[in-house]
Amino acid sequence: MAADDQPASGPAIRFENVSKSYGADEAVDDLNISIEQGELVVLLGPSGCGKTTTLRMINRLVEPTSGTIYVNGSDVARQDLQSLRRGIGYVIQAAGLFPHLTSEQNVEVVPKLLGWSKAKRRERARELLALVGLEPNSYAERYPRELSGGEQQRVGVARALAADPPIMLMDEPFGAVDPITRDRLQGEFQDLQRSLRKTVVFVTHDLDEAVRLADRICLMKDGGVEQFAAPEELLSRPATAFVEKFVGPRRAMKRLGRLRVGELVRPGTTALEHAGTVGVDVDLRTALAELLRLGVTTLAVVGTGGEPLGELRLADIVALGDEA
Amino acid sequence: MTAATARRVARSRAAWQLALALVLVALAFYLFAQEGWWQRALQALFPEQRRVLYGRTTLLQLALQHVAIVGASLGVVLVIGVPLGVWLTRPSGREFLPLANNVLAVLQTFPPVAVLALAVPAFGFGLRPTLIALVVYGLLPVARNTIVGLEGVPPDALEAARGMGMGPWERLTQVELPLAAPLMLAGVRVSAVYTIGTATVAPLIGAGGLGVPIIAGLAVSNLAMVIEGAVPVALLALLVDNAIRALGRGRVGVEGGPRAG
Repeated sequence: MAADDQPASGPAIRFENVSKSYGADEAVDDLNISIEQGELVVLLGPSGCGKTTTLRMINRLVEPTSGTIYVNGSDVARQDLQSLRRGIGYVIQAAGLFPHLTSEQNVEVVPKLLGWSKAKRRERARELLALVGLEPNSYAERYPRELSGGEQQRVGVARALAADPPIMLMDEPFGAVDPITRDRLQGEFQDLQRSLRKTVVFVTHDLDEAVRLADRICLMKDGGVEQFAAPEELLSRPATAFVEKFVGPRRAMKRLGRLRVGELVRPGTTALEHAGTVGVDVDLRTALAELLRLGVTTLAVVGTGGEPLGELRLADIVALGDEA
Repeated sequence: MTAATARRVARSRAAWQLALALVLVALAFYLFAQEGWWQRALQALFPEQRRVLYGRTTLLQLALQHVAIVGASLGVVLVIGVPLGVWLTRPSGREFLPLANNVLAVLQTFPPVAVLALAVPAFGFGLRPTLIALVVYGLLPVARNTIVGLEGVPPDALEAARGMGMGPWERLTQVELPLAAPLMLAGVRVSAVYTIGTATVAPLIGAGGLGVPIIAGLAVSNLAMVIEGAVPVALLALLVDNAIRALGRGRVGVEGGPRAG
C-alpha cells in the first residue's frame, strides 16, 4: 500500500475546503480539519449534520463536490479506488458481515483481495479473532447468523484490521447492540486502540461514547464544524451555544468521567484518618459515587501498588463542577 | 453438539440425500428400459386394449429424447436468464427492470400450446420452435429469481464490500451471486419442472419425447398409451425436483441469506 511506504509524518487525514452538496442541500460545507497519526477523532453530531458523509468521503464512498482530501499527504481522488479502500479499515453499524462466509472467511476478505497466501490469511484471521476476544477454535467456523450482535461486531472490527491498515473508519460501529454489550465493546476497543495506535475516525451521535473514546471530538452541525477539541475542553469550554446545548447540563458529570483521581489528590495525609480508599487511576465520577455511598467528605488515595498518596476532597470535586 | 459438528452432520446428510436423489433418477431410467414390464402392467390394467405401448419408439428412447429437449432448453434458459437477471439489477439495466418484469410475466401467461402454435409459423416444424417455446416458458422463474435473489442481498453487506475495496465484478461473484444462489437454484428447479411437463406438447410440432405416446394415445382414445407417456413424465418431474432440492440443501452456510417468499 502506498500509505505504508511513507514515514508517518504530517497529518494522517486532511480535509481542505471540502464541500458536498446533494442538489441544493449542503451536506458538508467548506470543511477544513486535520487528523493526526494515531489519533482517535470522533465525528459527533445530530442526524443530518454531515458526519457520515464526511467519513465516507475519506474512502471515496462519497465523492466531494469540491475541495481535496489528503490521506498521508496524497490526494485520495488521484489514488486507485480499490487500493485506497483496501488500505483503510472500514467498520459499519450492524457489522455488515457477509452471511455466506464464516467469521474466519469474513476476516480474510481484504487479505484475499490483496493476494495473500491461504496459510498467511488463515493465520492472520485467527490471530485477529483472538485479539477481539473470540476464541478462534470455537468461532472461526461460525457463520454470522450463529453469532450474537456483539460477536458480529467484534468480527467486523477484526475484519477491518485484517490487512493492518494504518487508518480505520468506523461508522456507528456499536450503534446496533444493547447498552451492556456496547459498554463492553467500547472498553475493549479502548484497550485495543491503546496498543494499536491506529488513526481512527469514528462516527457517533452518542455524546457519552464520544467523550469516552475520543482523543478529539469534532462536533458538527448542518455540515459545518461547531467545535473541534479534546473532550475535556468541549465539556468545560463549549465554543458555541449549540455545543453548550448539545453537551447539556450534565456535562459536569461527563467531564468527571474523563478525569482521574490523580488530578485532585492532595498529598500528605495517611490512610488511617479516612473511612475509605480510592485508587489514583479511578475516574472522578466513580470516586464521587464512592464518597456519596460512604457519606464522607474525604477519601484516602492509594497508588497502583497500594501505597498511600494523599487524600481526595469532595469540595475539590464540587469546585471542578462549578468551573465547568 | 457444537455448531461446527452440527454443520458437518448436516453437510454429510445433504451429500447422502443428493446421492440418493441421483440413484433414484438412474433407477427411473432402468425402469423405462424394461419395455416388457410396462407391456405386462398396462395389459393387466387394460385387458381389452389390443396395443398398450406406442411401440414405434421404445420408452427408453422417448425418455432420453425428452431429457435432451428439456436439457437443451434449460441450458439456453440459464445462459439467457442469469445474465439477464444480473444485468437488470446493475445500474446500466435497472431502468429496464419494470419493463422486463412485465414482459416475462406476460410470456408466462401464454398457454404452452399457444406458444408452440405461434412458434410454428415463425420457425417451422421440428426441434427449433419447440426449444424456443420451452425457453420462453422457462425463462421467467430463472430470471425473476435471479433478480429477487440479487435484490435481496443485505445492503450493509454490499456497503461493506464496497468500503473494503471490492470492485463491481468482485462484489458480484464473491458476495451477490453466492447470496442469491439459493433463490436462483429454486428458480432453476421450478423452470425444470415446468419444462419437463410442457415438453410433452412438443410432438404436436414434430419433436419427440415422452409426449409422443400421450398425443398418439389421445388421438386414438388409447388410455394405456397416454399412461405410458404420462407416468414417466410425472416421475421425471418429481425426481428432478427432488435432485435439485438436494443440491440446494448442501449449501447450509447460506441459509441466512435471502429466501423464496
